[in-house]
Amino acid sequence: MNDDEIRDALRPDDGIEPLDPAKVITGARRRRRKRELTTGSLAAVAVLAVVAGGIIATDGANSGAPVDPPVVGTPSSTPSARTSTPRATSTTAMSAAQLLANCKVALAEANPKPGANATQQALLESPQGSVMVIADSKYWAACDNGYSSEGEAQVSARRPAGLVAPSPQDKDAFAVAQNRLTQPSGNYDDFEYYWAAGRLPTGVKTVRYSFPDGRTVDATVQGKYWLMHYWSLQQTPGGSEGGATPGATDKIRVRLVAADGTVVNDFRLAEPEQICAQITHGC
Amino acid sequence: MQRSESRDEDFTAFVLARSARLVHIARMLCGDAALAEDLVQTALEKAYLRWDRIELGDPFGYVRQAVVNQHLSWVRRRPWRERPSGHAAELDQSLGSHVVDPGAAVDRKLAIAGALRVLTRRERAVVVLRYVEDLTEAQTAATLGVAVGTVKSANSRALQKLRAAPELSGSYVGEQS
Repeated sequence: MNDDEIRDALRPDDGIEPLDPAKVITGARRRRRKRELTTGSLAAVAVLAVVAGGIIATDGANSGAPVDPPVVGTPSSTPSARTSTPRATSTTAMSAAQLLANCKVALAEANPKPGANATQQALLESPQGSVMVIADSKYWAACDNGYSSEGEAQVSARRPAGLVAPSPQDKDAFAVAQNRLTQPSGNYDDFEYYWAAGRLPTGVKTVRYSFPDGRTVDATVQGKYWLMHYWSLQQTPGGSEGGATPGATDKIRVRLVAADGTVVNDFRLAEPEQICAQITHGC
Repeated sequence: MQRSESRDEDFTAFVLARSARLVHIARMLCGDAALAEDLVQTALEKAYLRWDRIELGDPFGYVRQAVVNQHLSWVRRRPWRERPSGHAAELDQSLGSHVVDPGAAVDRKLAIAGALRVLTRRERAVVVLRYVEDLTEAQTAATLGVAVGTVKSANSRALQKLRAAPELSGSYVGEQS
């Protein structure tokens, strides 16, 4: 097949009608009104989160921006190794018990997977969504409900794995799910959402993620597991009304840090293998 | 008020002149006529909100990039177990709905369209930008926000897949040898 044949085959025909400009303009104005309303809603969410547990932090780069997304985890421009416990600040509509049950449903077609008797092993909560690790005596898996569709939280699941701690060299063990948040009630349309969870490698104290927007987040460590989720104001054409962000395509960096501060491994995730669309592609 | 009216007139002219082309690109990307119009509608709505800045540069290039990005991000909204080629099942039907070429040309288009199903979305985006829009590898890379090498490898994989696709195997066996 040569290039000309492909061009010929894909050449547009005359049968496509242009869109109605009036309809486009009306939709744009509706979008602007919704965005203005959302600005107030997001500010309220941020205030609630700060009052509840001081879980929001910024590095100053985006401070003052009217629609700065909620930053969850432990973001810092000068990160330090940190182990934290679950926050009791959740205002999510889905309880931990519901998330556990829905997680098992989401894993129904996975094989192998934690059995019906699997229990909660770790939980990272926030008002915007929670990540939970579940396990039985053989396998663990993780689920998340930070993504909503049609106004309802959707549970996505990480591919289950055995209970063996991964090697610090196993990059796949730190794969991240990425999603564009769209919540009709809140219009999070501009935010990239990331989450990940896993077993803590032997000798590693901190799992540290750095995102294309420049923020760094230390995963929360609970027992043998680590959990991370992060909302990013990552602006790309079509994804935001704020314009493009140069360098937004940089890959996610992962650093595994030992208790004495030694960096055990420092690497960037490969896309799409390790930066997955809602963990749909084998992560 | 006059400025606003002039702005709307310019935008209206742009939509009338270029949106059909954008819809075609979106159809090639997503394989669904209705979804393609939604993609373009969304991209144009966002473009309208910053039209004052966009129209001074390359508004078509901007909206085209928005369509591509929106397409790739919409993929990520789909539930888990979604697969890269899963949404293109209607691609040939979508194409067929506006094909006007007679005889063999129609068969040819439908064969190519069916073969596009085997590509991942990124590979399809590369093929569309390279062969529908005639962008260079560098321009394609810039539009997708990836390295030129990524475009080269994706394009190479895409062409290999297209050559191996059953829809095209009969026509191109000789070319592959």
